[in-house]
Amino acid sequence: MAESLYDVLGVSRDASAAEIKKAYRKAAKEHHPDLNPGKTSASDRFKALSAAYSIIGDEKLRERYDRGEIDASGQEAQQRPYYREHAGAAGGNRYEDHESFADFGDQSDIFAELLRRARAGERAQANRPMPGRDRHYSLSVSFLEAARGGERMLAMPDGSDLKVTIPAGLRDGQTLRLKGKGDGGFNGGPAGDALIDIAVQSHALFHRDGDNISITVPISLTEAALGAKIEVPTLHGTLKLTIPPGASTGQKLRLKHQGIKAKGRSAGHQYVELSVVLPDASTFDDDIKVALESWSKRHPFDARATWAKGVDL
Amino acid sequence: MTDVEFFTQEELIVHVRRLSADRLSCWISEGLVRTVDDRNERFDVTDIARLELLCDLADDFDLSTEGLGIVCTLLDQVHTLRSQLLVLGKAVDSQPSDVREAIIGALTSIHRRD
Repeated sequence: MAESLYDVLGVSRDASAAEIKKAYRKAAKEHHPDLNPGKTSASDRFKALSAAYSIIGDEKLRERYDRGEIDASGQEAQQRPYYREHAGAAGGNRYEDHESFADFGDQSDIFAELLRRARAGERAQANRPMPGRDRHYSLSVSFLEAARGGERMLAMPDGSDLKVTIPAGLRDGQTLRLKGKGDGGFNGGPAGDALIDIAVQSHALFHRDGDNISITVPISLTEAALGAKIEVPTLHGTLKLTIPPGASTGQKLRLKHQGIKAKGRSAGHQYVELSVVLPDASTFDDDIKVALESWSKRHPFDARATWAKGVDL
Repeated sequence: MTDVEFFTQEELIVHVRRLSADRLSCWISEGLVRTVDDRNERFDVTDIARLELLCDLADDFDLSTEGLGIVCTLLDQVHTLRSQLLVLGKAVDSQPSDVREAIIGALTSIHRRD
């Protein structure tokens, strides 16, 4: 049978919580890697100790362990860094404390030299180059700016203006990174970056799906029946669009490559959805009524012939 | 230099399970942990390891903040001594064998004299 957690801590199964804590402290003093920086075997032993203590040092977990609900391996000690691994390394420099042998310099030339170097190192540490911090901003961009691209000035907290280039096809929620536009670096270190979170506003007429643009265009009954050439707005200016005779509401026409032209991606398209709009009923005079009635008699048409076919209702 | 990972105070609290915001600000104001910068927002993995140790000392050994201060001062001195001793040892090792022999001989005679 494996060593029980009580054995690991060297206490009996009926030891009190205080006894367990005391035993853990005593053992941890001996085996904690950071209290024994030179003892390489310390970390394995301490891992076992703290794993054991994390269970039987906790009243609830101990009960469950005693009942056999959790086993010794149930709670592995978390992977954690030990300070001794960092203390002597470059990152630990700021915690160096040379006072303990400052007096040696008077008695030994070699310690005087070590001390001189250490103090020079401290100064170098304080003066070493450090990168500046990144700065976060948010920027609300109009639909058209995001679709076409452009430039915006962003007011900085220090009163200066930051020029932000908006690439065509920028999406809502995207973040722009402007290198070196964050806080200044220290001691010649590079500046941090400006990170700009983008919110894209919606547009009254244009809608967007990736790089494709869609727009709904109203057309008259005459244009729908006889066909027409109409003017349609696009991101890149007004274009002539040919409506075929007999067009219906909901029909979609494509303007090839007239969507978003983003760098590095093939251009999106613009889809034009037609919407037939009738004029006010008072304009339907007798002529048109007679004409429509006689026309529908000659060409009967059931607009709902296939509409609800096969649909559960 | 730029590939070093830095942590803000909030990130430290996430990384070090037993660390609370109050505890961290207390330890920073006592100088037990110090940032690489002067804005108290750039901590690194050294500080995470140091905070784990401070949590051990505070929770498992019931050390007060004053106690932690004393332990930290001594601990920093021990680590500094260790690194200086290692530097000295490496300097001696890099000497020609007759110089090393002479130093070892001197060690013996100083010991005997003391």
